[in-house]
Amino acid sequence: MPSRDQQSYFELFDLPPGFSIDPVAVEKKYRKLQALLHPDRYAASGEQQKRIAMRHSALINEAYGVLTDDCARAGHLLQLQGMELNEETDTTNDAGFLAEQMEFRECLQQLDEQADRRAAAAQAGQLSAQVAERAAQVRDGFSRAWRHGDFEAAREWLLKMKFISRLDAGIKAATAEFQTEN
Amino acid sequence: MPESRPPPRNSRRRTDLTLLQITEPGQPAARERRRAVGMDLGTTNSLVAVVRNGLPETLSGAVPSLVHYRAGDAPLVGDAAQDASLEDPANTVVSVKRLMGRGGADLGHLPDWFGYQLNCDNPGVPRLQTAAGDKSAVEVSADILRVLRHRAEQALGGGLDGVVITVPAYFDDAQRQATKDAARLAGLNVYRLINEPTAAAVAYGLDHGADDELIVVFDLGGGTFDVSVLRLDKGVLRVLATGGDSLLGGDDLDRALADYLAGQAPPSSFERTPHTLRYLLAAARRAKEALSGSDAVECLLSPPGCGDWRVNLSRAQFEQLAAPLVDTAVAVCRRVLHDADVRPAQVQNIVLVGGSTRIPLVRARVGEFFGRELLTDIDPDEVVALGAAVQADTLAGNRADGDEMLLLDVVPLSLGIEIMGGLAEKIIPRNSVIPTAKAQEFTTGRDGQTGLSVHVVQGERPLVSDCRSLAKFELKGIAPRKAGAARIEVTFRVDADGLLSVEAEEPASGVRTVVEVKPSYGLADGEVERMILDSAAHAGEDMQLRKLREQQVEGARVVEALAAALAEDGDTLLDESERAPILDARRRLESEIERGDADSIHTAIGHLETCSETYVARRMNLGIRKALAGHDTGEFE
Repeated sequence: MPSRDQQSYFELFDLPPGFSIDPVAVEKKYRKLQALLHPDRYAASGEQQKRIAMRHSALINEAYGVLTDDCARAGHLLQLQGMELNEETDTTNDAGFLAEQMEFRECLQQLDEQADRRAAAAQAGQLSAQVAERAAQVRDGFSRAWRHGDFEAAREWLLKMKFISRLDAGIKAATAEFQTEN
Repeated sequence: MPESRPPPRNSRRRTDLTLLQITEPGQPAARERRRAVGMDLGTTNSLVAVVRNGLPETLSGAVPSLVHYRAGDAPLVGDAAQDASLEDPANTVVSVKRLMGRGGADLGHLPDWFGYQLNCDNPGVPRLQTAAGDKSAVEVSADILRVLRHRAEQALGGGLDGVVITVPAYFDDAQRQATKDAARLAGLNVYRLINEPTAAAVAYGLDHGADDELIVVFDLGGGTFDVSVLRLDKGVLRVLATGGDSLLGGDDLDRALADYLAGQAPPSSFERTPHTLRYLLAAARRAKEALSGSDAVECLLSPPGCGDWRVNLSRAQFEQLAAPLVDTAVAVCRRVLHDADVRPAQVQNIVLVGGSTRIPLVRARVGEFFGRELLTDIDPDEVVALGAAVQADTLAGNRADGDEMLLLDVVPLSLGIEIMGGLAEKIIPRNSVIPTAKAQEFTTGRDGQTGLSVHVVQGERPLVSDCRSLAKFELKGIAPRKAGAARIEVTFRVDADGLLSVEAEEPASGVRTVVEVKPSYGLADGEVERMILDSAAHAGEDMQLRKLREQQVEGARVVEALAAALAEDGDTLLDESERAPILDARRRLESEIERGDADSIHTAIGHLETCSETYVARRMNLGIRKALAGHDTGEFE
């Protein structure tokens, strides 16, 4: 029987490891596991039971967060292959990709400086669409590399995914600001 | 300052697998109903509710959150303190919720509206100076909770097994801890602290039994404001995002209006004193409430010791005063929806909670923001207590098959630590689902360094000085090494009450320390225990004896849980050589319980837990497998 320390989040959720994942299945299993392990089910129990429930429930939440987030799930898959990513130092060397990211970042910067907030909001929408398209390509790239067992290439795609995810967060934050100002 | 290393991604932490008695969802409770109630400890009013015949009901109306202290006599609480509030403001505490979990620095400029004197001489918690001595906000709240407890005990005909107490979703760790301390002081066993908007959603869900519905709870009370976005789907109520302001509410409108009324006084006919201010606040509140129903109101004012004057107030004038508060509330709404990644049009229902949502301007602006009619078939004053009662009933295990709702709530404010340059690094971002645990690795900055100081903060701003300081602690006993060579893993946990605890471990040496996070603005170590013993209910009880009893009960529970598990699958999951040390450890615990030394029992429990780790892991795996493999009860399908 596998000890939990060796268990992946996929195993915990009884799902096949892979980048493409059935969101409905994840959701269903998440609910089942929390229905079983959530501390609310042990609120009238002893301290020990409460503590165990809290830890397991937290683990299920962590696993759910990883399985439902593209970057985190991809990272977990590579980690299971023994590949660790260093958030601070690892970066992609693809010059073309980096140049494009710079361009996107500049667009975002210009949005902030744009005096006409309505126009800025419209531009943010366009930028967001462009980034979404690029994000889909990068996700496909990871998925292909992963399926072919090319983990080095997959790692490279993951680094790109992270760039795009940060950019996307930046756009969302900027959009929220426009809304607040309006 | 600690140098932080990035957290190991998806790190699989050492899980402490001990014995969990897995109960299948929907198992019928084969025992008597527990007496469990929900308590809404509000800024202006407090309520207690209970589930009877399957439906929640409040017990004998609201208790005004007022406490009047008298020299050498028991405090008067609620309606009994109403007159004293005007006659003796210095000894009558109002809106104590606003002081919960706050330090002297927060309250240094306590507005003169409160009318009482603060003693901030001690570094920890400020005290109110009353005729019955200095009182912390925790003690005042405990006095209110005691009244709720007595009402419930009378109505239910016996002592309470457990309670659910509601707190504003936006309460930080210190405010939550203060609330829990107050409950302990009032002699209550707290099953759970739950967020007020979540409680309201539980009551709403009970009535509307929805199938995949997005709802927003807009909760503007006397002193606090929360907005939560929730998804209600087939017995699961999940909070997607929450936000608010724990210092924004109807109180602020009363003060703005009272200021306006004071400004209309003829020259030199009004003087600001605790008495006149309480008088004006009461008048302002009446005017505010009247303006929810009519377009204009005439206020006849004669504060004690002042002249008389008359003010004609139109709703438009009041709305001008209220506009900044409502603007803030709508801006918070916008941010929370953004956090939840939800557009206003996607929201199916808006549940209004709190007395201040009766104000027509609030309804108009919220309705305009969401572009729809607002739900008004729910009593905004009672819904929180009703939801808390339902949850208390669930947590007590009183509810039957499929009738219980699973609540998944979130952390309202990001938790982080101070890193170099006075910056806050987020470890648990806001809106993370609780319970949650995150590990962060630290290292030393100097050769031979053996200690590390960690400063835990809560808030969204990048600078530590703009966040709330929760706790500072020192990790000691790190084996001296070269700078950067030591690895200290610090695990931050937020439990289902939204309370933080921290555990530090140096994997190389195996040294593990559990750090009690004592909020910087909380009561000091042992202070609550001392107060519990000081209180009349426990007069003469010995602290050590109390501790021993607790350990004996816990020890017996552990023994019982293990026996039940072994009877079920002890033979199939363990072989003889694996079973022996577990049984050994159990015998040791049993004899320690008999011998009666609290610390030894505690150690024996820990030993038994360690010995049964593998067994528990196997049981857990088996239980999870079974649950995932099917036998669908249908409720989550």
